[in-house]
Amino acid sequence: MSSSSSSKMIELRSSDGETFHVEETVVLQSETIKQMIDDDCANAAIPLPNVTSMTLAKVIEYIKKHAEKPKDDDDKKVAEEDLKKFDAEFVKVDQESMLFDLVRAANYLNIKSLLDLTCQAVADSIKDLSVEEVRKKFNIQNDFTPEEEAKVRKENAWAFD
Amino acid sequence: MEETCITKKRKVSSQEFIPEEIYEEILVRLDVEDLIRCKSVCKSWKSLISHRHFIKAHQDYCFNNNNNGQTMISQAVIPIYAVNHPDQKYYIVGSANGLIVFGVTKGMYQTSFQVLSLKSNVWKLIGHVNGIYVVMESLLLYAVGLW
Repeated sequence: MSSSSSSKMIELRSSDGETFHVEETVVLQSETIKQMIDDDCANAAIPLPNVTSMTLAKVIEYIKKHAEKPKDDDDKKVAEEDLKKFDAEFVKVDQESMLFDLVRAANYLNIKSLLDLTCQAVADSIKDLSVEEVRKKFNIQNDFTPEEEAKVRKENAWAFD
Repeated sequence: MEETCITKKRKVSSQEFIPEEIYEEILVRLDVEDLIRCKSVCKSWKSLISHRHFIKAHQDYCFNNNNNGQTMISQAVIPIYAVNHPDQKYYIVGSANGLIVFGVTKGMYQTSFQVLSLKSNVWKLIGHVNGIYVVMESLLLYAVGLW
């Protein structure tokens, strides 16, 4: 750990050049950024070439909320409930592409709880979709020949009821 | 061979919405039925889902997230007790890796096996294996393979 005080600010720069100032204690939830800070690479603005300003703003909203410390035990319970509600709302995004952006950002920034949350949201959205719908959602080309696909489906027929 | 499929996919799919390495993070959260259906999506998903490493990761995920402190019968093959119904007899053949196999007999002959997996603390039917005359171990192996 570097000698940090809670008020130290870290500057982050999104792929589209926007800068964000975030407290170091908050931004340490990102293992990727933590590593940069530990390696003393965070003296200037940290460039995040894989994250757009729109996504970064959402990520910062998330890590700020998750950095809030409850004052006492009673407060802790309330805070946990509050955080659950926040998480549930957080992944209700208007556009699916935003959810995918958040998955990618969480992965790149290595924020485990955000990756868990967003991957769960994507998994929930796949549930009960047809194979065709899943392909469309992820822009996946069907690379089976018709015979191969028929064979796979036949082998697993019970899952297609 | 499975690895080559994944590598090949990675090279050609530059415009995928979600990078290949994150698919595992997502798919591991699906229940067995959705997962089996997803094997038909593309070759790389099929090899990912069928890979031993993934199966283990899925088991671990289910174990850690759906099994709130309950005892899980796992790994070992444990022949257990019989549950009697008026016209059908269900008995537990054994359990391995979070899967449980029931044999169902009607009358004198064994007619089917049912494989169940744990999700949200509920044993869920994931399939039937009809008319197979096998020893317990190979049946369990088949059950794990189904998954």
